[in-house]
Amino acid sequence: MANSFRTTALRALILIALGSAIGIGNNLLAGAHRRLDWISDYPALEARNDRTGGSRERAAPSGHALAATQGSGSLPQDLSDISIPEPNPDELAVEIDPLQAARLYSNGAVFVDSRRSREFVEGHIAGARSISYWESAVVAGRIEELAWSAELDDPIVVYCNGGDCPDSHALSELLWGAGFVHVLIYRDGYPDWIARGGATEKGASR
Amino acid sequence: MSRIRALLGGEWLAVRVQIGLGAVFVAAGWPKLVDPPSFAKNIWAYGLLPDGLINVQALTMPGIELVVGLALILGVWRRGAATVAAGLLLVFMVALSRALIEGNPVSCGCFDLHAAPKSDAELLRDLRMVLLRDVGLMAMALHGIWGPRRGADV
Repeated sequence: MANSFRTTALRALILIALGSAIGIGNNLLAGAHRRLDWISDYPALEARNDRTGGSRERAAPSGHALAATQGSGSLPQDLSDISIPEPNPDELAVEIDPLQAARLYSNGAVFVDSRRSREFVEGHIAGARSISYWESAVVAGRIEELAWSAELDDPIVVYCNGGDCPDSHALSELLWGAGFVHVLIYRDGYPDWIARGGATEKGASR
Repeated sequence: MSRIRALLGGEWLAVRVQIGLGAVFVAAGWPKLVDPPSFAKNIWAYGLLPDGLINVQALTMPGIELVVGLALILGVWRRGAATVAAGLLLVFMVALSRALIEGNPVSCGCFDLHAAPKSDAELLRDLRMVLLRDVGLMAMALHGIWGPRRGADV
């Protein structure tokens, strides 16, 4: 009986070791976009709950937010009276509404897609660059590339899949940590952009 | 009555139970093995593990699920595989129970890591169903541990 138990326990351990080895080998052979570092810093769990409200560090959208979110119609032609939040080194990120996102887009602001690169390839805001928060093997390099091509006080608009998606909030923490002081979260994200008829394109990040 | 007992204790049922359980584990392990970042995000959303263990679990658990599933399907080391399956199911059930107790509307992440967005109420209802399903799978795993087996199979 005891012998049988020992054999079962040993075989269970061997199966666990074999499975772990397959997982680790798979990770070593995986492409950069589906490879994981052994350890990553993940955002505080409040980011997960941002679907119902921002954390203390983040400012909620203001001004015309209500009007902008009441419907998902097309965007007005004249966006010149839409105000944009100023850079603030003390604020992690500011959530913006669709009209503010449209104004920033027309001003040529950098748009960053924080969704998985697979989703980015399938469709994204035209001209956006991909920095997928969860692809830990590439995220640091992508932020470094951004830092080379943009000033730290340039407006950086981060988006993902809208209200249920924590990716943009999580990525904004990394961008803020990298020194960017004007990170703006387009909270309603890509689904809203499509619904409003914003410009989109397909394909990998440049 | 004796017929039911014979069926429950017979090799015929044991083989089908282990193949069914194995198929579930293979189906669960494969999507996670091919997309570790999505699985890591799912683990993070449960809020149970410290940051340092999230990626370790995301990298090792899918392979273990796959190996255990294949062992059960092929009838290799059935009792050892069923023991690991029972251990994994226990971990899943604890995670699901805690999410339900805290009212944390997390996506199960059991098979489909790219499920369409659902409302919080739908997610919590799904978690209850998944927990119920895991109770059934646990019964299958326990049958694999203590059920009938061929002489050399431990």
